[in-house]
Amino acid sequence: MSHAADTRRALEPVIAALNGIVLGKDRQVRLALACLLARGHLLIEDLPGVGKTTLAQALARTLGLSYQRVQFTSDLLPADVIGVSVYDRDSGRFEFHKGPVFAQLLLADEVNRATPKAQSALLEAMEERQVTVDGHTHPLPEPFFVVATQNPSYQLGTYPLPESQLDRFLMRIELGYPSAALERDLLRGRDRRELLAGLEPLLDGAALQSLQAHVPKVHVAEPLLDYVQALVQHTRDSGHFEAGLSPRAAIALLRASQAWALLHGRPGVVPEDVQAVARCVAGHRLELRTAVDGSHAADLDRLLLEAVAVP
Amino acid sequence: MKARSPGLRRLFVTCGALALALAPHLAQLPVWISAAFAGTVLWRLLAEQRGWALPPRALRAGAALGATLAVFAGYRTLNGLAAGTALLSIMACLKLLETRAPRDHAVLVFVGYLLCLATLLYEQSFLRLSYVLAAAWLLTAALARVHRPVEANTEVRPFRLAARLLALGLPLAVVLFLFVPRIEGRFWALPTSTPRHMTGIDDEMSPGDVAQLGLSDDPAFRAWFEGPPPPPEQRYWRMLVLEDFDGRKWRRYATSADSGAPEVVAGGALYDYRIVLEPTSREWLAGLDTVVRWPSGEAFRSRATTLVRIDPRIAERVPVTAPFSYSLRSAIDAAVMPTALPRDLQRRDLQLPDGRAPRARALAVELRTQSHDDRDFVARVLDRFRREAFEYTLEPPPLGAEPVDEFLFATRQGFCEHYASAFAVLMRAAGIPARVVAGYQGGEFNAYGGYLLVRQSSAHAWNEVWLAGAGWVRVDPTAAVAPDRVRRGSLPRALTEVAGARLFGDLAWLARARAMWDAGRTAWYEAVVNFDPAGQQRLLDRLGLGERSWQGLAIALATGFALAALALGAWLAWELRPRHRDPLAAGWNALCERLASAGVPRAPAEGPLDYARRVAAALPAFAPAMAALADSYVTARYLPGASAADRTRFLALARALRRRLRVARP
Repeated sequence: MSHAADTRRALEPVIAALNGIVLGKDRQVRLALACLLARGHLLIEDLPGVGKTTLAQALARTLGLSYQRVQFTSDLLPADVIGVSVYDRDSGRFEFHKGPVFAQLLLADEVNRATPKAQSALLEAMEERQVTVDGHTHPLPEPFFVVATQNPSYQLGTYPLPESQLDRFLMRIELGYPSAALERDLLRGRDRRELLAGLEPLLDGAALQSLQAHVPKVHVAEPLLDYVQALVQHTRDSGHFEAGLSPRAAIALLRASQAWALLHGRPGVVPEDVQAVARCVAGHRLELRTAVDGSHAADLDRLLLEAVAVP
Repeated sequence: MKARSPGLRRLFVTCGALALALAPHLAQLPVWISAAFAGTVLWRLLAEQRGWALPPRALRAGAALGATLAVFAGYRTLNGLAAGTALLSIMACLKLLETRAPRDHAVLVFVGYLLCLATLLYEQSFLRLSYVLAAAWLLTAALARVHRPVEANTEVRPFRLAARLLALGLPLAVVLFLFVPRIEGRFWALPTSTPRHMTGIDDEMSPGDVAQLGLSDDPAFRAWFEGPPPPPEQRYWRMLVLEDFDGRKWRRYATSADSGAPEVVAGGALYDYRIVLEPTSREWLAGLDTVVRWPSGEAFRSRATTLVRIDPRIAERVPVTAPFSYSLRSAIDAAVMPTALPRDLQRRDLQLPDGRAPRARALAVELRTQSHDDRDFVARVLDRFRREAFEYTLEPPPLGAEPVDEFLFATRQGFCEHYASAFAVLMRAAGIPARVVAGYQGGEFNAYGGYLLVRQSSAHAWNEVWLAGAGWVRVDPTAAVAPDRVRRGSLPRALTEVAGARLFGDLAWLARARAMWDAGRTAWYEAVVNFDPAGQQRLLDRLGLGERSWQGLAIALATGFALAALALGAWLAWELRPRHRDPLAAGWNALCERLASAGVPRAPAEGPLDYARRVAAALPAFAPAMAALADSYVTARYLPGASAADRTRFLALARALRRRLRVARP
């Protein structure tokens, strides 16, 4: 049996468990998992109270990952995130006290409320997967997955992440309000915290790492490479976007597509896999040149996915 | 090369193209305009580079007014080709002074196109056309450069685009050229300020006054024969007849009755041929002696045995101002209807001014008494030319008050005109009607073009005498003196061939190259420049549309346009063709097309799995087959380890489904 089928079998229960906590967000749950599989970081942008934190916590629990949460505020210091060296009188040396970043799953809540200085401390750690303090390099645990949440930037007291920082996130997803029926279920059901507490880990860090190792091996056929390239090229040539996608973004798109294919038990990537993740991978990296009616996501579908033919 | 700003580069290209378009006019333009153009271009480029301000509006307006006045002062008109070109050129300079936006560049380019057009009005040679095409190419490239965003332009891209545009326009241009109704003559015949000086046959001949004969190597006409051309010594091309003699000058009679084509009574060889006469600005036409048939209709009339061109619409003689093509039949060595010479004509052709050329008259009378008939008398006179110390030269001494006597008895040096004049006087003095014929003698056969080329240097004069029972008989006294002149068919050839051969050795290759060049040039003029209504009619005849000339042209034009559009479409389709080297993609697309005609078209951006789901929903009967097919397509095309068997399986499934869809079609 192929890795793909194994992966699917291993992850189906995880998806089911997550869907039990975060109702009606199957797609977002799968995207978050795909992001994790592709060793990327996830940015969730939405209004407070739609279940961002719940999703992050549920992920950590079901996947058996160590979990830390940092509430980003305007007075947060870099040391509050990565840790601090403290002089230990007993040993007579400086000792490094690890910050919350030394967790397998870090929830950086409301990341755009912190000052750019604190933001960049986190984002550097995300990129390097290690922390250097006082000349000592401390590797971060593996797997290392950051889920950052962000309030829409039109809210007060926010420091929007600059584009270069946004690029550090593999995907950006939105959760959105639940449907009426699901919201009633939510109201009728038990408290999410209780449910979370009752979740059993279905995987562990090591198992997740081996799944992550499969992602780059998912087959990418020539026509699919053409397709990914055509999509990226279109963002550069069409004139609808301020700036086209970078080669790094192209690699991100391919990795995410591979993870999505793996998640669905396919040993090779099909165009639908690319289309499924493209909006999340490209959305926060592209800025529309002219404001078009309708949501950004709809525009992206129309201007990018529907504009490029499947080879 | 120094890095230049896009604005400067753009200006540079536009100015360069404009200069190229203007260059052919430099010879005709006044110096001040050329200088103004060069100065303006230089200043404008510098201004662009240094960021100088362009002149204010008032100054530009004043300059425009001044330039217009200056052109008017120079030409006394603003109309016409020369003045128009000058005005256009100077206005291009002034436009350059306010050229900022792309629109200004476009105006300059269009001025350039107009200058190109004007160039072709002056001359239509192949070389000139090639040059104009090159200029048009550069102008189009400049236009393309101006109208495309800066980042879309590399150095070569506008030129490639322009070349492609010109190539795409070519079929349409050919259709328009062939089938837009042609107008007789040159419809663009704008008044030119300086009438071109035409060399050729004059309607006056005054041998004593010409001290030196100008020899032009320009072509006079070309003749295409249906069979082999006549032998060199028979190549006498009649043009006009001079009969009125005042003792010094020979003139033609201004008025005379029309005469029909002469009737061949016996013997002789018939030649059918077509002549293309170079412009002469005269109305008479050349024809091989003796023309026995000319085109029916009113375009030709023989007046005083001179063939002239008549415009049937105004029933007037029209000068040949553009190359003129006509077909004739001639009889050589034929006896032409020997009717009696009408009395008035006889009087005319015997007329000698009173008291002039007394010694010649005396000589004629003396010789006539020794001869037993007119024919013998002609032979005796020719014999005298041959025996006595007459010399053929192109630089004869000038003659005084009594040119005929002085030539016959004193100088004895002259060229054809001297001999023809003296011979005619001798004949008339002896009572034989005689006249001088001016035309051409000779012609070189061009093997590459299959025609006889007759140059201006072959201009010749000879005589015709009326002999009872034989009619008009051609006599060439020059042939008696200088047989080479007739054999070689040209004056300079006869005189310089020996010297030239000594100087340059064997010039055969040069002659060949010259003949080849002339043949190519002639073919170009024949096929393209002189494509006239008759040529258009011939083309329509060949297309089977000949009977209905106007409708025929319309049909041909419409068909040509449709064909050109079709060719363009085919080219575009080829250029934009979907390139599937992959048989899988081809099979998939074929299936998608079939499904599209079944009402479920695939969006170009739709993946196979999504599409299969949609098809399954829309056509439930095909749901399982479609699912299997999409699965096999994905396996063969996108999944790892796809084998040839997978591909074959997909193609077979696709074929099967296509067939089912075709059968199920309502």
